[in-house]
Amino acid sequence: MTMLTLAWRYLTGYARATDPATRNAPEWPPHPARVWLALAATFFETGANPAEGEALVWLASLPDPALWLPATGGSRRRTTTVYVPVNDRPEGTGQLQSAPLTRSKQPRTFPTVWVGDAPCYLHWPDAPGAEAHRPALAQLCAKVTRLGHSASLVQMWVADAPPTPEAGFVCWLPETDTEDWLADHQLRRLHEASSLERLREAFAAGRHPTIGLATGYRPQRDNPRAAMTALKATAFDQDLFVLAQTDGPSLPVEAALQVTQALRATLMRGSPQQPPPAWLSGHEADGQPLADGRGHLAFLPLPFVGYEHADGRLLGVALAFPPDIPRPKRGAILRPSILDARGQPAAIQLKLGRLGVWVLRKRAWDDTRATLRPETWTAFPEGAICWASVTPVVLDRFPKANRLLERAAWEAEVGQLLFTACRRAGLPEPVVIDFDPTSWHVGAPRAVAKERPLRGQTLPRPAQAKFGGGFPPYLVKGATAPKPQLHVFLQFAEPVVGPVLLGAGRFFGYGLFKPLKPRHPRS
Amino acid sequence: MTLSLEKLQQVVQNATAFRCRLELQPAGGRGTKVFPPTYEGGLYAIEERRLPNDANPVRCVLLDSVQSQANRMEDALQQAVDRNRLTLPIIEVDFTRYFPGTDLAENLRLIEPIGKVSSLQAPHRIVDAILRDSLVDENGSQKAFRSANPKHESTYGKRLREASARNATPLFELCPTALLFGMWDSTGPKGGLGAKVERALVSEIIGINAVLGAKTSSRIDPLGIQLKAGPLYKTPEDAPFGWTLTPEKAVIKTNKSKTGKEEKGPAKLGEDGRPSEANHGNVTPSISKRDRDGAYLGGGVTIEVAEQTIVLSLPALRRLRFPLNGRHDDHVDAAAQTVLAALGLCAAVLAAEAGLDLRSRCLLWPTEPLRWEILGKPGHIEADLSLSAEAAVDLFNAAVTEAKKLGLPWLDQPLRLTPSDDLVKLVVKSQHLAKSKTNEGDE
Repeated sequence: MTMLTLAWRYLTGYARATDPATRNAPEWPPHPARVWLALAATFFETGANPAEGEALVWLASLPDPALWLPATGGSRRRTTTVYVPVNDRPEGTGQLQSAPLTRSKQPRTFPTVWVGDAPCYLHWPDAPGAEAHRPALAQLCAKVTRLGHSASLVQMWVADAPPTPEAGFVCWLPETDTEDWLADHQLRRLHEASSLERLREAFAAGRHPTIGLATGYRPQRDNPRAAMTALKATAFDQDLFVLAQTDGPSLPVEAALQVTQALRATLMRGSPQQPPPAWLSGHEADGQPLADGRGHLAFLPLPFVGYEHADGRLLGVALAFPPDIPRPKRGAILRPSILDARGQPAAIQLKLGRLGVWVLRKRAWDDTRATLRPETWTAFPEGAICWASVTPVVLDRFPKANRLLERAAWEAEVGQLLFTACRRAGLPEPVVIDFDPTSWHVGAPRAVAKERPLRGQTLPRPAQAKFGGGFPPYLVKGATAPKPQLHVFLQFAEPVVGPVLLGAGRFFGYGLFKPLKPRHPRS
Repeated sequence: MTLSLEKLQQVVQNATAFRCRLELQPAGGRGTKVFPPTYEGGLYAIEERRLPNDANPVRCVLLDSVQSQANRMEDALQQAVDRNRLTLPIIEVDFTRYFPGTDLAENLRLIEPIGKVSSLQAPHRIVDAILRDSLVDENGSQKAFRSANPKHESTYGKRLREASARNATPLFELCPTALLFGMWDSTGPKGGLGAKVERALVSEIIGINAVLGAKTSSRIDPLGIQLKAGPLYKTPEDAPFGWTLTPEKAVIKTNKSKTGKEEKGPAKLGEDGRPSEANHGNVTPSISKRDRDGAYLGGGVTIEVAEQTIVLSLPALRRLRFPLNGRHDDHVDAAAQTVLAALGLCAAVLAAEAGLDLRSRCLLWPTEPLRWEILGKPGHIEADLSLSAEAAVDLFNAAVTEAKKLGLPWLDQPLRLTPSDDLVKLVVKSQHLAKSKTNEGDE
């Protein structure tokens, strides 16, 4: 197969281009269409060599390319508003503005992204006819001076091959299914090739040649190391879809149930298919719970835990899909809720009663917060041996032994229950199980609130007063009393890829585990 | 390695760019505070970078923007021209005769001198409205430098109408810096469809590993003037000072009392006659405000190092064509492109020589001499090229001589324009307005 790779380097280390959707944000990653338009502009501005023109038309006929970007690049500069002196308007205002004292200044922004010295690449693995067009393309690339703003100077060339992940590059692949609205980024694409004459007409009329709307892109996740070791994964797809909180009150992780339940209700309402499919609702069309072992969507509260200064604040929510639901299907059902009409992340409002209104948005792919990265919760691709819960695991049934009177029997029974829960969740058998009301992760609250006898109050029966800090009980539908909930530590013989969710409340975010660096469990 | 004219000619036709990366430190020494430019809301332009030896992203701050650097380079060229170090096509609008202008009508007399405004100083270079609204003397008659009506337009303006990247000869003749720093003729006779030229020279200064600081402000009055010593009253314009403590000497003003009645009384200075309205008294010591994240606003930064990056794009120069009498000649194009490259290097070197006193409390100092890299084919870099200011000027002069030999037009003497009467009247009126605004501000 003939392949084609175009490369360019930002000579000043900076990419300056305005995101076409929001004027104040920089465009990153660079759109393939922008690269093509830069080539087209060069073609017209340097004499419109026919061979170069044909190469351009041919280039637009190729499918969407892969994008290789330096892993270290892409940090945005804070967009500041600059007031620039305007040259006056040629007519209309009736007053000259050219006098130095009356000249007005208008706000402008110059959105900028730091890329560094490493080049960026567009790569077509299969480009039939590339050999014929290569000389003309090389000649055209050498004449390209900028990509985006005029201060965004580049050097462009036709490269022999794309770079490798080992050299510090990340590959972004176009989604084959253009209806996949869950892609990490939408990039403008080239339109079907128009003829050279059409291009020339557009240029003469001062128009941009036509480009397509957008195609979904996502970073390539295939990691050779992961492929070599057969990793154990859970009943959920490790491809978490993360929503980040963008507005509303700061909530502790104890409010997880309210948030996940409200989010589920919102997504159910927004589903274009009514009643929503079973993989979203967890119920058959007749209202019965799924009973044949098929999984359904789980909601994972993402709290800031496990770090030195972690305070257990909720930063967002992740959706974990059952792996057998194909991505286009997920996108089709969730799109109306998570994207607006222009394909931009929409604000998902969760009304939480007295807690206020919480606003979530699809996580920006370059959000650097570790808590909002799916790998933090799945340990993908390496997997993790030790896992500990950040929200309490709710036991599937009441232990028969009495916790206070038959401690050893109670512990053995709880261990057995957790063992079964692991098996049910598709996990390998753990080699160590430990449980405790306190979490192994810094910042995660106790599994249940501590209680003390209420003093000085005369009540019909002896009452307990709750201390602060602890998860509220999880009440299973139809149950009269909450089942015991605990924080759990699991150690496996081999690395496990998450998400790890255990226990009765696992679809609403109770029993969520986070990888823990290997160490001895508490005795 | 030094740069000869032959080498420059060869590089301009073959290489990708001249690049210079310069390490800078605050003049006060490593770790002393510098003040970056502030933007709307007191913000600094902050970004993060990943550096090879650092696991975590490093905070960086913009110390001088591309636009600001272009203006500094033009300023350096202007100074070199004023000191006769080099000659360069320049167009000047001369306002000197209107100050004090005692022989002129009152509406043509400037209150503040303006002097000469050149195409190196006007914000939009040769296509700035100041130049457009001026007159040029041609064969004894005064013509508008540029006009929508060709009947009134000078020959220069007519030539500028034809200017584009494919026909850059008129710009080369009149304002070569516009070809280097870019321009958009958005207000000329063609409006938004006027010629656009991309910049070929980009320079920027960044402070790396920046830590935000705080700034304090206070004033301790040696006279110990107290707030309660007021109120101060406003005096009529003929009084020696703007204020008095004696209400009888004050201007009389109509005030609305609390009950809504109109009462006449002495006018207080400013809002309530506090001594601080006349800049007396103490200013309570305070610390700079904080933004939402708790970081101080406008409090300066300490940086590990600052880095200036200058890039001169050679394909951008090669894209410019310089036809003579409608005919293209590669030798002529190459000669003009060489002149522009030499001018770019000259501008960068002269600006470096002028020093990097960017603004109050932001004087930077290079820790190494200016060294240029020549970026050739992808991955091929020719390094360690040094160029002194004298050498750069000599190189530029040699390139100009070569270009002139091939018949390229080049304005050796500044083209003098006189502002149109309407423009002068507008400036005079603005100055009067600005003065009265200052007075209003006193009230």
